[in-house]
Amino acid sequence: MARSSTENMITLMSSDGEEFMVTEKVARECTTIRNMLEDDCVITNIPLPNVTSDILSMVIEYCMEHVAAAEKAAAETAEKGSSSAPAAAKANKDLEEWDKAFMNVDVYTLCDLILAANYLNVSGLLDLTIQTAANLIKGKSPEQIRKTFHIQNDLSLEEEEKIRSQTPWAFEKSE
Amino acid sequence: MEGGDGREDSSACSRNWAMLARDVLIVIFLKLGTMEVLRAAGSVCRSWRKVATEEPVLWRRIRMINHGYFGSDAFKLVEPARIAIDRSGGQLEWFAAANFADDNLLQYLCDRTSVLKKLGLTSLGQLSAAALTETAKRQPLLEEIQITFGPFSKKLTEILGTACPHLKSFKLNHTDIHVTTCLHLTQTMKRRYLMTTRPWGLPRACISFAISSLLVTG
Repeated sequence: MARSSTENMITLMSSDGEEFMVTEKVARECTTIRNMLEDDCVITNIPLPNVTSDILSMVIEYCMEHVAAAEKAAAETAEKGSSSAPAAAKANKDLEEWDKAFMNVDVYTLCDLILAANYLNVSGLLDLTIQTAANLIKGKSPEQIRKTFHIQNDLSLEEEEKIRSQTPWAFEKSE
Repeated sequence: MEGGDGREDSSACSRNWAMLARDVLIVIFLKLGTMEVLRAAGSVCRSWRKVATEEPVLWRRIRMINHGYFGSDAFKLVEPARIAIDRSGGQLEWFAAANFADDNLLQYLCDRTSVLKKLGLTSLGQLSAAALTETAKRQPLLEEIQITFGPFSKKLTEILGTACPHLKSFKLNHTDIHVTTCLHLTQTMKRRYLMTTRPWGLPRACISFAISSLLVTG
């Protein structure tokens, strides 16, 4: 599109020094960056010392997909005068499917994505990753949760005994 | 980290689920719901336990209406409910319980919060009108009440209507509400939103009349 060539480009720099050129619109999906841009409108280079390149590239991929979907929906509305409900529903479903596929990651990547989404304040991505984590926890026993997320049980025997005596029902099966 | 599962230390720093920031863990636990945090997530490791037990914000909304836990014995939920109420640190705003909530539990709740806004209960006979009356008097901020199969009387509805000046919604799901009670409710709850579902106890011809007069808004 002709418009995108004139659009401001922003360079995001990951903790390991890799640079990512993105449109301002995509960068603005991150509320943290949007606030920086509003405070200082000439800023074009933003270092992100808390985000590695592999995670930053995923965050950008997510933002680009969601910006593209929103632009497509807006263009269709402008073209037809009003949005057609079935088309909008299909677009929503497609984006949901895309999100679902995007969440096909290991738990370490999921953890990093949560931290990045939280730090950059990308609300859609934070919701998505948090819900994915919650779904992985639901219905599991403490031991199964530890296994899933590679968490070491650092509770002492005394602490575990205390939990067990205070809440014996917690160790019953939920099924 | 000592021991561990053989992963490198460098990755353990940034990608450790046990080291998740408190605010992030709170959001995850809020998605899980009351029972999941009580039953499992709060016993995974020290940092998760700390968030589960020391953050009243997690327990402002207690919802225990899932019958799946502990098989068919809903009364086993009484003890977990007490712990959840304790953890709310006086900030409990919503409380919804399946048919295990009895008079004692309501008293326990009222002794520990006075900022309740929403109350949802099912009574299979274990709740008395006196306990509901007492609750209404001790929770002046109540905005929504939903009671299924509870004890009803003119007096009780009157008290609910007057003791809770902020009441916006009062839902009764009952099989045996009589026309006189319905009319009395509308009088007591003037300018409040009232709803009753399926008052099967009414003769057919009366139902539409009763429902339309119960849907008083504004």
